[in-house]
Amino acid sequence: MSRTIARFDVPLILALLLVPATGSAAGEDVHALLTRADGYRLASAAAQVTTRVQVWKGGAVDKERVYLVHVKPGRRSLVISRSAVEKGQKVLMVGDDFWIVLPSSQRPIRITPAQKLLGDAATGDVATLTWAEDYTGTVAGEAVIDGVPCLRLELTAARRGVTYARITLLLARSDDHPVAADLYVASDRIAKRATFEMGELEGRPGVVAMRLHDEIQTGRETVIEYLSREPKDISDEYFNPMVLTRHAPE
Amino acid sequence: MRPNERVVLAAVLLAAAAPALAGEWRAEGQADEPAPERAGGLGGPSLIRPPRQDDGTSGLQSSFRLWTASGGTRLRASSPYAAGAALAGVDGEANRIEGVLRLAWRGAVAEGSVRTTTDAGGETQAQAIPTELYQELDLLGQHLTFGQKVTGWDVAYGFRPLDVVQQERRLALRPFALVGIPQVAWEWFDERWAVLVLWANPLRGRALLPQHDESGAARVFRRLGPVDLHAVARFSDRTGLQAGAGAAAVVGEALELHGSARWQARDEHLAPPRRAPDGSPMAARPPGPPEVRRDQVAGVVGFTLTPGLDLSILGEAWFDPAGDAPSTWRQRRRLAEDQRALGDAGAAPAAAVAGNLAWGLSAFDRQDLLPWNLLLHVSRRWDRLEPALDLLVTPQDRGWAMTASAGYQGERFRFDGGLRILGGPPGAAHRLYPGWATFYVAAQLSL
Repeated sequence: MSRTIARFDVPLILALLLVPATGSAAGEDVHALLTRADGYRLASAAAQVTTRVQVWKGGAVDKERVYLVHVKPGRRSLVISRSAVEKGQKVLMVGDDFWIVLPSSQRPIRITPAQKLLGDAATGDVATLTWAEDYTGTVAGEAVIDGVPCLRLELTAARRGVTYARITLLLARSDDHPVAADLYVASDRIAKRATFEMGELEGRPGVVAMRLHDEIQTGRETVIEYLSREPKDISDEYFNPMVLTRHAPE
Repeated sequence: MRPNERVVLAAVLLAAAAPALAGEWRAEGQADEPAPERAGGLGGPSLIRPPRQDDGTSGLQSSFRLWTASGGTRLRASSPYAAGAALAGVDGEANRIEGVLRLAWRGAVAEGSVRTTTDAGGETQAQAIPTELYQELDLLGQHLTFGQKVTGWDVAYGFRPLDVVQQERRLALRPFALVGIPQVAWEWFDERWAVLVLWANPLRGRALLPQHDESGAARVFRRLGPVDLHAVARFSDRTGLQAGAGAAAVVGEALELHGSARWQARDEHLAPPRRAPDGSPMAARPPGPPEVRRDQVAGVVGFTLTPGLDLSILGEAWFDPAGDAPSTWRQRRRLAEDQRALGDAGAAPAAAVAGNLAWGLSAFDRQDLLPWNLLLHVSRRWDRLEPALDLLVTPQDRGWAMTASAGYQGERFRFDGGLRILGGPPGAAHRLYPGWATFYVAAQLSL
């Protein structure tokens, strides 16, 4: 069951609301906060992440996909599907530009930012592991989520092409790890509520799973698990869409 | 055992073996980094090295796909070609089965297809063919490919002027896996540029089909922010020089625009309908060789719109010089009507009339019947179900082809079904075709 931002500890919230808004929290540098939060999802700037996506429906796994994700600075990521149903499918994101290579076509196809939202786990959910590069915002207050005191950040997209136009993000006050998020699409409609599970991956604390509760198709939950995460700097040339019809990154 | 039974048995055996074949094999304890290969006893790392696989390991990757499709075509008795439909096979295939096994290991790819086609009379034809078989190598920062590889180019969907090498036929129902083009290719790329030069069908010379001709081709790609630019060129004995360019750009959050155009020095065009020297509509031989036309230009413009709600809309307009003008279709119609009238009056043997009409039906065996075409495709996804509607219109004669289809994507299985209807005013090329409706249902297993 996903935890959502709506599940607040009411007495604690009331107490926190009495704290003047000009307190230390409001003065935090949002970019620095996001950079620290990003560190729990992506420990190194260039990395290879193996991700498993499970879509739950009616209490059972409805779909399961495995992706290999290569991420590099400059908002570059390459998502390679490893599941039988999508085997050979690749999605490339370079800044605000996106391409898909379907195994049946053998040519890269330009896709729109809106097409990134297609699917239960939007491609952007799988491929985007950082906020600091994409969003700006303010510290809007504090909250307690399942007993964890959090800072509430209101983030807006700093550029076109990001998966969500607006995010309400809650970071743990203790160490800035992400706890929960409300994800809004361009129409300012809430698309998904996310919660983050902490654990240990490759010998250091980090987000090991993200649960996405679909607010549009209710009753569905998507769990994105990070099975492995290792520093890996693939060559820049692999972020050229024409290369994707050739072999994948070395 | 009959040939079709042997092929079905082969497909079943492949399916049975597929769970073991599909997936990835990695030897126990195999390192992620392949050991450097030695070059000719020089003692150092080789300068030639095959690329690794998608996941950065050197393991064997495999996939298997088995699908079958059944369907049929309803005949239009009012078509002047109706009497030739059976001879030309218009009454259609009853069933298709294909099993495709793909193996990839360290830059080497092998994909094979076992396929059968059964016609309405129960006659089965079977083939087992390699669809792709190639090796990719990296050499001193250059990238080489040797073998048979699918090589589709262009930015459009319904019609692809820049697809000069693969020459894939678009908008087909139930297509088999594409068969790659034998080639030797060199590539260079960085993050924004990509250059490819290839020698297709080496030493083959002029073949029966244009895509099998020996040719030299090149493609240059440049990414300029939200715009992709493509330029291609190809030279073959049949076409002379072909040259073209295209672009695709994303405008805003939900709109993609694309367009491409190609010029070619020579193009083979289906010969126009001809009567015997005495004016008789009956011929004793098949239609003559194609006409050679010079300085032919083809082009397409289009868009994709994804306004949300899992809705996708594609629109395209194109000019394909391979299509015939409406006046040529009027000539074809008159010729076919005269042939049918001779048969109806008993003035010519029925077999001869059917043969002539079947020859005439070869005019329909191409992607575009007329030069100008408009395509609208609308699809929407509801979880695993995706219905789609395609409408192709030929504005010059107001003919149309409409396809309604739906696909259901499971974890391993996929089910599809569809219906294509051809229509238009009397005399429209699509209306002349003796098959007015084609339906199909298909099932696919992926491992």
